[in-house]
Amino acid sequence: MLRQLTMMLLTGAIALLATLAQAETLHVSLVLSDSTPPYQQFSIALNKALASSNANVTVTESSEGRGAKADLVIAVGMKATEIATANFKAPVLSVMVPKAGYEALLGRRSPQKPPNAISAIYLDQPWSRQLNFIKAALPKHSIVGLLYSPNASIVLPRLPPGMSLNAKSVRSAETLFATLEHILESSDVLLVVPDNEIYSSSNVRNILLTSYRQKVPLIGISQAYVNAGALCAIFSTPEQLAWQVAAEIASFARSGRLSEPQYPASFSIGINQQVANSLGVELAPPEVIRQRMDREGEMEQ
Amino acid sequence: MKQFLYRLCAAVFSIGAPCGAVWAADHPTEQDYLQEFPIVLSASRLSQPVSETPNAMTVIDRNMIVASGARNIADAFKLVPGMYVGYVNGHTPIVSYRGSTDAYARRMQVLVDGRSVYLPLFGEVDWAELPIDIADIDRIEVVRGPSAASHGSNSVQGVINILTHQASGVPKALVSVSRGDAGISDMSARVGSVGQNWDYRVTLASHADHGFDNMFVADTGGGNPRVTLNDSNAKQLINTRINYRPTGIDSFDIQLGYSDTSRELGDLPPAKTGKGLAASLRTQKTLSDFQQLTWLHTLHESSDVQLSYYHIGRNTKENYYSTPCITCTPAALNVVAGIGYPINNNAVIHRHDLELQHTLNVSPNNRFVWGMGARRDSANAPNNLAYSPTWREYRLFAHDEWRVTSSGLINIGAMAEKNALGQTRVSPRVSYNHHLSTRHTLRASASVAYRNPEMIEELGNEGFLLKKVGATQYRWRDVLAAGGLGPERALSREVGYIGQLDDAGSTLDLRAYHDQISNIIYLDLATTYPVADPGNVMASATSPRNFKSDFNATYSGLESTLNYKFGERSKLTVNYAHQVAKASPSRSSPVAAFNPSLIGAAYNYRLTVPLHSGSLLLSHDFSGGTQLGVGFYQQGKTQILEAATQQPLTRYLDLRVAQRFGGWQSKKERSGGGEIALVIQNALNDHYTDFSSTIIGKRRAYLTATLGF
Repeated sequence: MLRQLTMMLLTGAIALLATLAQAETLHVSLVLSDSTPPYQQFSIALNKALASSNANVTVTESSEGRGAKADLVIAVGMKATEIATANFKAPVLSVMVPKAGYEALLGRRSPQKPPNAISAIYLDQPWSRQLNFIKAALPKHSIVGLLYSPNASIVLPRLPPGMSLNAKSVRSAETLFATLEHILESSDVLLVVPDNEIYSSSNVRNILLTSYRQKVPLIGISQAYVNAGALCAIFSTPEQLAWQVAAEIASFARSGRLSEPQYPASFSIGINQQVANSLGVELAPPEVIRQRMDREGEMEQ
Repeated sequence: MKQFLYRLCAAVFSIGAPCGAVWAADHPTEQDYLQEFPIVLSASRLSQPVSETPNAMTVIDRNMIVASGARNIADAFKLVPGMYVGYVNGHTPIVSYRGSTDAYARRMQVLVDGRSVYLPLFGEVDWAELPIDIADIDRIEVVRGPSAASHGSNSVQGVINILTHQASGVPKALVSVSRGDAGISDMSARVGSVGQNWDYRVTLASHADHGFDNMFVADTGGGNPRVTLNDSNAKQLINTRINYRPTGIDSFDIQLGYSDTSRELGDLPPAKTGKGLAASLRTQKTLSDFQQLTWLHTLHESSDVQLSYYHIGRNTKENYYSTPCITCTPAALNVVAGIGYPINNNAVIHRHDLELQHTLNVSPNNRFVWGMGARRDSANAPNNLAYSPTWREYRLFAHDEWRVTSSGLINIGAMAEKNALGQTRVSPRVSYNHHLSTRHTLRASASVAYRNPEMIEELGNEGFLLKKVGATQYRWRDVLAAGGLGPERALSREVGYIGQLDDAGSTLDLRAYHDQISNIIYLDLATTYPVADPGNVMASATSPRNFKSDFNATYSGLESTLNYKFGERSKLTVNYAHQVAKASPSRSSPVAAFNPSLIGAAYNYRLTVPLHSGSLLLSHDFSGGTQLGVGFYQQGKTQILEAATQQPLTRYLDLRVAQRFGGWQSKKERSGGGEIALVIQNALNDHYTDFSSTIIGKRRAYLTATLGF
């Protein structure tokens, strides 16, 4: 339901772009953090979304952006956002950035330069959605384990009824596995948070193996986690974010203002059926999980 | 050896050195979401849940082993319904399943991390010399039923699969010391590290005790009526496991182990203890080693290939003298009183095994495993075999796990093998598991498995050289195998129920089975067989014993396991088994009805299972780091095949109390802290008789102190 609504809104917004086609051309500069596939996918999807709307928008890919004339800068990733805020005067829409990283970056902006108008479309999922997902996918797993490093800025969420959070701070790399085992003993699932001190690519292997051995499913934050052996995850793909950005461009073209920073409107559900089978966890198909999430979301509203 | 150890440790430590992780703080970036990982839980790493396995399975985890207070690996198997654990003496445990219990227990496959330790010469598992420390065991999976399709040949009545800690499983240093009754003196030190591409763990351990120190046997030599059983033993071992991941898709698991075991044997009275002189008091020395390399290559997320190789070497030396012969024929063979003939009971065994296995998820509902393997077993045991054989076996196997509907699962598989005697057999297995709901599952399965004859059964020539009289070299023989045997065949059918009882995870496992074993190979006790113990030359050896294969047996029964969790801190495991066996001469044996030895053997087979047996294990964690474990074991009357009388009802209670301190108080074994544990075996001092009727169970206590750094 929520998804249909979102899609309707997006399509509506893009249709609006079409009506703007007659108006003045909007010059959008696209700054990518690098040229690896996720950024390329975003770029292709954004061009596709804009093209299908016949909007009068020119998109220039710019790695440095110095001197480029632009009405709006789309900065994809943290590095791109830093470049965009430093080198452009135009408003910046930062996308594919975690909320915590984005907020930290805002705090670090150079005082020498007048700040741009800036907003963001985050990469991370809102806590309410994440917890709603766990509840919809694993109704019997009510204790959510969470590991974080002391420097991580995690605002612990308010929990839906019947759910409890078992969060532990990992003091040092040496105590990571002691804390992990401890938390696995008293949790039904382990939820990954974006914390590269804990979930570095070398640690993820042993975290996955340890949690699997203790029969505690891991909830990832990307398809890569699911492929590696996490039970499931919700995440937004570069394509999904690009459509949301296209809608935001339309809104900007109309109003000349950026919306408040927002979470991704649409998301994907990834599940690893083999891991579910092996752990003896009954996992509904993604469509059913999504329906349950929509129902829960409506009830909350 | 010392130098070898030093070098090995040095190599391992230098690998571990660059492993320390950098602990630098930063805010999250999109890379936390976009980073790619290698596939960790690849197709072959995912195990089947107990409710979907084709056979009934018992899992004994680390916590259960600890709570039971088991000091020997064999003792852990008392927690498997229907499994027999007994002691021939202090250093020779016997583990057998589904009856036919003798000193060898030949109908069960035993694997340690996939390495078959069921050795070819006698067809036995020498539990005491295995180069692994019980504290390195992560869990034990026991397949109760034939499982050749998944576990290879000789998986006839069951499979024991011992899984040790992963290389990453001991990331700290641990030191443990035990002292107790009967000369118990154990020490172990382990260290390990977890790194980016390398993980390792190393264990150094020594175990020693005086065996059943206070036990007495009747003296046959006159004088002292009761003597101490001579079964002191000591073992030193080193064991290491290394995991190396050169790329995201390749993982190498390297395991090395070495053990040096000394065991005292012989039971003559103290008056005649002159070692090696006209007495069978002796020390048996066993050096055992293994090397295992497993390469797991992930092709993609639903397919991986595993190539594994291992070698096991075992060298046993046991040199002693026979009792003097005074009535030998011809009389010239009689030896001077006081000195017998030398018996060099030495054996060298080597096993090389190579296996390739491919696991692939054909679809989300279908996982397929297939592979092939070759094994080369060689033995040099002049006192036991006619010659030094090299046996080669080849196998091809496939197994499919197919989720037919959302509630139904079919496991179907088979292994084809060509044994060393050139005989080819196919062992199929099929099972259907039906989930009545997410918590309740029914299973029905049927399988066939074969046990190949062992070297002693086919080529046995057990005895020793006497002297030359004239031109004739005389040899004393206890066993002379005629050969020409074929594999034993087992057909098993079972129905089972696996249920989850509550949200805490309490489970109930029930199973009824009916197994038929045909062409059972047994040691035919010829009417005029000379002696039971080849160490004692008492008569002329005109009619040595032979292995024959002409009777069948059926085993049926019920097994149940309840695992009940009382909240977070308490767990109760209750096992019960009801077993019935029947045996009769096979139709292919025309002389069967007239062979009293065969009739006797068949009769005894029926008694080798206790009608009722059970065990109970309760563990509780008190707040403040105190842990309690209570184990109670009971087994009805059982006939051991070699024994003259039945082993009567056996019943005893084991207790373990532990106090943790430091960082371990909150159960965090991986942080600094420690534990002091007191184990009292047979706490009520029940004087039960063991496998060997010379052993009377007595209370025995030991204290273990463990420190973690």
